[in-house]
Amino acid sequence: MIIAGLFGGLITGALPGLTATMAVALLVPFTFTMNPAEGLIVLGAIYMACIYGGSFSAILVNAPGTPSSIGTTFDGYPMAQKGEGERAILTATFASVYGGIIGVIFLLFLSPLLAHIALRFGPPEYFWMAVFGITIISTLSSDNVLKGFIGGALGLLISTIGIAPIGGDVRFTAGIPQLQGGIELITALIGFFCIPEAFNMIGQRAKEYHLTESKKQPGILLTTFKDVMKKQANLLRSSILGTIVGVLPGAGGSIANLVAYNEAVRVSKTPEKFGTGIPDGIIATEASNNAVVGGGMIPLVTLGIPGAPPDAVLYGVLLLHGLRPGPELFTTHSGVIYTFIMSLFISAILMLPVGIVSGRLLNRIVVRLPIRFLAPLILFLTIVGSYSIRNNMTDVYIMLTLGVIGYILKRFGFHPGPVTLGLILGPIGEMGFVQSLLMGQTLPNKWMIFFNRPLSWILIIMSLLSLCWPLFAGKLVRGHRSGRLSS
Amino acid sequence: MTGDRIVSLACVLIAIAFGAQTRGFHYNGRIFPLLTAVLLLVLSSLLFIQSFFKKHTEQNRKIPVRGDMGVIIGAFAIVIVWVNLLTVIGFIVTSVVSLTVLTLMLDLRRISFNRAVFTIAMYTVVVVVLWYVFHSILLVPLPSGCLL
Repeated sequence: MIIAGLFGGLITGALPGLTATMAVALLVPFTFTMNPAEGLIVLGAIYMACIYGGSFSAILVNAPGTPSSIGTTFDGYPMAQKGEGERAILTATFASVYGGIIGVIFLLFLSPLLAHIALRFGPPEYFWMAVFGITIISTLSSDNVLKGFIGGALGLLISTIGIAPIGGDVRFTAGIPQLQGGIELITALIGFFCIPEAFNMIGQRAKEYHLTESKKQPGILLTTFKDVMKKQANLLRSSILGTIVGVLPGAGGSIANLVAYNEAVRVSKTPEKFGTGIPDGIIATEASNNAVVGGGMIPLVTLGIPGAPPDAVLYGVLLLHGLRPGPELFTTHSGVIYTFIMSLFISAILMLPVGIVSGRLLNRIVVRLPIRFLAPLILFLTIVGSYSIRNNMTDVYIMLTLGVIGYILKRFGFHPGPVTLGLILGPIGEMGFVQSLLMGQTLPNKWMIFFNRPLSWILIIMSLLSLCWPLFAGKLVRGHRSGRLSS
Repeated sequence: MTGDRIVSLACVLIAIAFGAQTRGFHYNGRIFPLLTAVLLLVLSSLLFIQSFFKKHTEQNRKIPVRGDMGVIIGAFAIVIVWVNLLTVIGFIVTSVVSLTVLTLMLDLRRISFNRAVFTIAMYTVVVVVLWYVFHSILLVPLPSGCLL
């Protein structure tokens, strides 16, 4: 059952447009005939594998299969372009397994403590967390920070299209009723990443093949495993970050992978190498996004609050089977919940053989498939993926429009990463901002609500550090180099 | 004008357009998009100013245009026709035809009958399998028209 769930989740995650939430939601009806533990085991395996599967398309075609794999494109795709696609996929596999295991360990032993911390996050903290997320752009677009922030601001503006979360104003819909629901993140993701990549391939059709096939490297499995395991600091830090971000309701893997990537760049002795195709980038993103699986379950099982969107679906599954999420799960239904947690642990481990087999196979297929087949298939999957979100052709048109905009922006040096980051953080930031202002009306000055909580100050300091880090890092590197030269 | 200047001016216009539209909203629905529009306006203006002082490199001297733009535009036109015909003709027929046309267009070799037949057969299998998985197994509806 777990193996079937893992294969299903891998395929869904690898296809751009099909997310973990969708995969879990679509397969819920199949669990009606199973007992609660079996149903949760299958869905947990699908969730875990879906998050990991997004790395395949991120590495091989520069199009993240899920929002959790946006950061994997930064180093995964350059590695594939250098003929190291298999090594990149194996790195992602080992890092995902590691992150998944750490997330489950936190779920098993530290649930009450982390849930208590999550409860202390209020609207001001969510606002500053969104600001911290935006400051990551300064690291992601080190070649032109200004363009990165412009992309981020564009993403924030696009996220405000639709009905305002507080107040209910219909904003920027141009009279189109279908836009009242806003721009779906997945639609934008497919548009900004997949369409420009497909057009790039079409423009390079003379190359015939998209990626260079690397020479067979005997023992690549063992050497990649050893290389990944040597990076214990990166693995552990990214896994812990992913778990913590997963614990915060509403945050999720789409933020975790970018936060972990940012931290990996910040602490690295060679930050300039990130983005050129190094395993450290993949390790950071994949360890963190799989740790979110365990982390997101913590508020779900302890407080009955879903940590990430797929957890909201699992919340429904628990209710369907008569299990009320919350503290009583561990007392009244301890057999079911501990079985589920252990199954997540086993799923993380079994992801290793399943991922190695599938990943290598997919790498071989993509490398050997000529562009004249690969590019049309990617376009086909983008249309299917964007339509199946809301069964609405408007999403397909929006996806194509954003794809053209993304292609043009890319040609002018704007990376799609900051734009999608703005899209992800916009709703979180706006909700936190407006709710905080409403809360602040009890204070003499309502704006003080953003500055009178200790947790907020921690996030403010982290944001300032993240924003100014590229400047410090540049000076540190220059100082270090001149020190070495003089000695 | 360099690409940076064009994009920065476009972003300034977008910021002004969004900012102007917020006038009709209530305070809670206006404040965040207005502040974001102001932020975009400031950043775009800085980029515009920066474009005059930045060293002129080959990359930012002119709008980058590569070869094969005609093929890209042609492919995009086929995609637009494809998407518009999905709900008229149907998912399977439209997708098979469009995928085949795209593939033959991207093939640098002379089109042969055997290659065309192979392409049509391959895409028919792929599209039908995907349609079956979505429609019958996952119960996710795909666009339908007068044919399949």
